[in-house]
Amino acid sequence: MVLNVQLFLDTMAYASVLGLLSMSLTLTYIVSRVPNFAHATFAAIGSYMVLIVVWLLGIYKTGPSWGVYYASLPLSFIVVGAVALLQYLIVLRPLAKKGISIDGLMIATLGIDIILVGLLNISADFLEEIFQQSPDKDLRKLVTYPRSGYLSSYEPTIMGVTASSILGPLLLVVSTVGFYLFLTRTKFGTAMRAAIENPQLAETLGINVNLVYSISWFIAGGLAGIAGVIMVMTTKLNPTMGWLLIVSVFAGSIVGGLGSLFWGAVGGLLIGFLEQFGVYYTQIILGALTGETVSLGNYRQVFSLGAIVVMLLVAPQGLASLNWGKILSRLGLRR
Amino acid sequence: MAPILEVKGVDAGYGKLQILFNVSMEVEPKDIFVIVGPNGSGKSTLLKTIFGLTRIYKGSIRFNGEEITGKPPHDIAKTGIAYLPQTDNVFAQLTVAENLKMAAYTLPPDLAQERISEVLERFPLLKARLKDKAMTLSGGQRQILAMAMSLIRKPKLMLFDEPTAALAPKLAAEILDEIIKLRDELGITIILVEQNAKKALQMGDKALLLVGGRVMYRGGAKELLEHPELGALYLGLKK
Repeated sequence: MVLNVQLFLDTMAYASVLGLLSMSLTLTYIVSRVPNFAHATFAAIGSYMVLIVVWLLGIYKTGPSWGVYYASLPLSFIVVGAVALLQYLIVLRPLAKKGISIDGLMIATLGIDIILVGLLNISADFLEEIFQQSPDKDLRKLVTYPRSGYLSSYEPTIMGVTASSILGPLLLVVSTVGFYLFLTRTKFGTAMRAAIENPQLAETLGINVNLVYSISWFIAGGLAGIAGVIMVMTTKLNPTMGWLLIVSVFAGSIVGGLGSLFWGAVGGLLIGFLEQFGVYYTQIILGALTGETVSLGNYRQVFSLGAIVVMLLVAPQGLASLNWGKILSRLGLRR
Repeated sequence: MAPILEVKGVDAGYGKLQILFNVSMEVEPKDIFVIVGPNGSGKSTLLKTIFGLTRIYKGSIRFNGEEITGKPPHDIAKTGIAYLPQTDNVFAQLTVAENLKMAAYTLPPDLAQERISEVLERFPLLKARLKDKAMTLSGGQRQILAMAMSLIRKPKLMLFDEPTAALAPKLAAEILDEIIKLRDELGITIILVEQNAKKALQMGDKALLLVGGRVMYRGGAKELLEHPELGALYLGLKK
């Protein structure tokens, strides 16, 4: 069994998506203590922004272009950030003020998720209609894209490698390092940490906690939007694409410990690699044993759910709670 | 002299749970005003109410002649009132330097740095711990840090909620001495909620005795200390 290069590249993109989503989900959880079930659908909205960019910038005519990324990344960040902010301001904050329990708020996020998927379905119908009615022959070819489009055909390559395989990890590293610097080196970032740790004390010092929380939700949504741009390069565009991902995203956050953005990103990455390689090698092993071709792509969540069970049994507080100094010393990687 | 703080007929509590009933008090500038009472009498809730952290159903609160009833805490903080909670009064996960920066959050950068330098001169022990997380400080050091954080915005009125809770007697005495210095040296008006009623009444100018959320006594602190009945009945003071 040798390492499949294409599998590795695909995994890099997929794991980066999970890393970004698990990190941003952890941010909303730290701020509001609510597991946000709409988070993966935020990414799906980001994915639809790519289709809109392909359409409006005429990339469907010109073929692969960096314009897909130049335009989609900021657009997705802003649009999805705004959706997340509205979810917080219109639904979660008023409900929390009324004293609704965390369980109640969690159910509310499920409701929002269903509404968002409904809106994506309406948008998909709307886009199909526009593409079908268009006099532009090339645009009419996009008619199936809103419900089952592969947008990877519009992304450029770098030395023969699809850009998402390189851009995904790069965006994850830049987001993680950038967020770390923002939280530790800027006044507002420090205020964010302060408001998350002790909102009442932060308020007494003149920090506008509501503003801090609102911006946190916007950033978390924005990061999910960016993840959606990479996601659509590896997955078929569909209004319910987020539903297929939410278990893996939660698994990443839980493995990370739900309390640290860095470990959330690491958890997402690990789950991405575990799912991809787990499915691939299990297929090979079962194929060798049965002598038939085995396809386990639909069972990838078994690996992420398994990771949740193992992590809760071994280290319920996640990777963040482990004594890494001691672990590295035992492995002989640190004196 | 016009009072710096006027609380008039305030009913307040948390959600639908009313804790304070028709509470009124006036605090003169540069006084140490002591709030005493048995456990659960609403002392801490009264401080929180002044600072906008509870729900006010009725009544009004004026600070320096300005109506502050119903204002959010971050706006009240800007008027010149500082509130030091009983516990969790520093950010444990932030360094001492970051805690001080957060205390200066609303100030322009130059002024913030100047004020931070000033409080570090006043509390030199913090200078040596600037890079340490606040969670590594002792209880007394945390109180000093909390005090330093409050002083950064040069408040006119400071609300202390049991600043000596869980401190050793010697440390507690040092903290209370520091509070007296704030009034004497900086002219800051103090409202103090303190478990050690005897010590608090000895250092106070005026006092309020709260029982079951209602005012039972309002007047001189020494007079309450020497009151033939109230001290023994509600504060565990010997006759």
